[in-house]
Amino acid sequence: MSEKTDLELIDSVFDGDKACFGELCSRYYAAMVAIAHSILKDRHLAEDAAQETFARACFRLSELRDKMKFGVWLAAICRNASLDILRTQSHFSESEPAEPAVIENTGVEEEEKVLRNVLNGLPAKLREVVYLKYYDGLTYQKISTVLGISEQAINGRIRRAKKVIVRELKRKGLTGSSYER
Amino acid sequence: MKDNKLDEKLANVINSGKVNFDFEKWQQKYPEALKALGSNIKIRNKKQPLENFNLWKIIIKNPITKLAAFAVIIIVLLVWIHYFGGSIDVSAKVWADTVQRAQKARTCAYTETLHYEGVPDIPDMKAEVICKEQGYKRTSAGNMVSILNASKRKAIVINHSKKEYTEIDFSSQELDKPSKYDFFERMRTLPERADEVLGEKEINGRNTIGYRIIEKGMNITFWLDTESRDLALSELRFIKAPGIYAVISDFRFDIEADDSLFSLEPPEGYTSRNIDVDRTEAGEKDLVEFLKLWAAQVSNGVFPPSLNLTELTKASIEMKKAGTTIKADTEDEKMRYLLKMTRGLTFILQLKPESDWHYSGKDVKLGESEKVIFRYKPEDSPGWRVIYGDLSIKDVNEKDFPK
Repeated sequence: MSEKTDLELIDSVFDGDKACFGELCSRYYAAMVAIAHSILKDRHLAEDAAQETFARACFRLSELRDKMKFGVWLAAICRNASLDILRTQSHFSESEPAEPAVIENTGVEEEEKVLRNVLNGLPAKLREVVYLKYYDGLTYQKISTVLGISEQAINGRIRRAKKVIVRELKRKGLTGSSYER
Repeated sequence: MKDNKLDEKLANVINSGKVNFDFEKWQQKYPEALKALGSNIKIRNKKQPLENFNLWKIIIKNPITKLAAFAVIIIVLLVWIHYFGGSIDVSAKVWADTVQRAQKARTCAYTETLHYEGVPDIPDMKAEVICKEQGYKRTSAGNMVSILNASKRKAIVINHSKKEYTEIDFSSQELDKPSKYDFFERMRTLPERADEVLGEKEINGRNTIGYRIIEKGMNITFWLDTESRDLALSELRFIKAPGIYAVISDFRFDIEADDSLFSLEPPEGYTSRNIDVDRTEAGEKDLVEFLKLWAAQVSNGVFPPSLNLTELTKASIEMKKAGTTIKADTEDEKMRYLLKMTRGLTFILQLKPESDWHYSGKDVKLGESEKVIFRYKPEDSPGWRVIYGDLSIKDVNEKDFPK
């Protein structure tokens, strides 16, 4: 039996099939975690935000105007959920959102740290698309369903992002021939 | 090739392992979500109007906000218990139509947002409320849900994230009119005329007419949609809690609301976290307890800077920023302190204007017996009750009152 399309799953959800909602969540989880991670800069908080996104989606499903844009709609909820968490973190958290730990300050890890900082300094739209591209093997097609833009446009954004990253790395002294394009 | 190198580096930095969605675990974490999805499905299939159907917006899952949300639920509940009620006046047709519609409605849902004016560091507290006639009320804020059954005079507060619940019995409290604690019932018992018509205003693209009702302890503004006669927005300002106000939005009549949403049965597998709650009417001793707890457990022996709820909230935030929290060994103990403190504040809220209460405890330390920190005139009493820095209380005649 062939796998249901997203649209068929959404129709099934509206027909009362809650398991199909679970399947939709599975399909969009990585993308939501990637979007949330690009905002929160913390993997665990990002997973929380993605799960929160699905909960909010349950409560707001009737607000979904265009089933074809389910991914875009979900991504918008995810950004809001992440920003809510970010606001709360900055108001109340005992500690700042954790950066992934650097084990030893070897050259490679230092390089990664600089790259992470550069990445975090990217404009939100570019940072988001970069996270989506490098997260858990997301396809351009999937990225397109959550950003609501064409695959060519995604490619263009990624290219722009990389250009900025290389420029910033150079500014920080990591000219690294290895990064130059 | 060099582009590949950057790809590799970015993948290393970003990709921190495979992400897998576990639907089972998610359902356990958000037990309310699929229920709401069920409501959405029913409504969608019945082709009812979908605009603004938004059962609730979940507040973030931070332990502090959870605690705050719980406190807010309790405070809002208490405030509403004590301050709703009274009678009024009506005027225009829009008003009359809405009143009539409210009277016929059997259920409603709305978003309630508590705002703190002048406290930029505190996020607005949002809760989604579903009401059903006969005094059923379900308030949800994130993973905290409180269900009130007025006819049984009982409530349950469920913490889904901790799988815990707290049962509350209001049987010893005045709960004679549902309109005293339930906005839906308040709508259903609106008078035929408002105290004031505020004119027209556009709210979120809707043409509305505003009405104000002035009641004992609070004033309520209603903005009604001129076409649909829906309530577009309502604002409740509590006279005794200046700076704190509640906004009611996304108000919908006659939504699907199954009885199971109002069940007082704790979810299976959840543990009871019942705390001994003093359910008698809050009194002077509760204020003393509040002052003692604040000084001893919160601020190193110094009394609070003010008894204004907004100022107290500001002070709490400042203390939180400075790393100060309630000194308690366990969460239960912290909750007990919180509930006791809430009673102290309830006493303040209950005091009538004639009591002429005044607080002067700012910068006074616990034990400074010569300093007056609070005074008020009890009802039908010619003299004053005065609380000193050592928390002793004396009856003082007007002529002997310390200047």
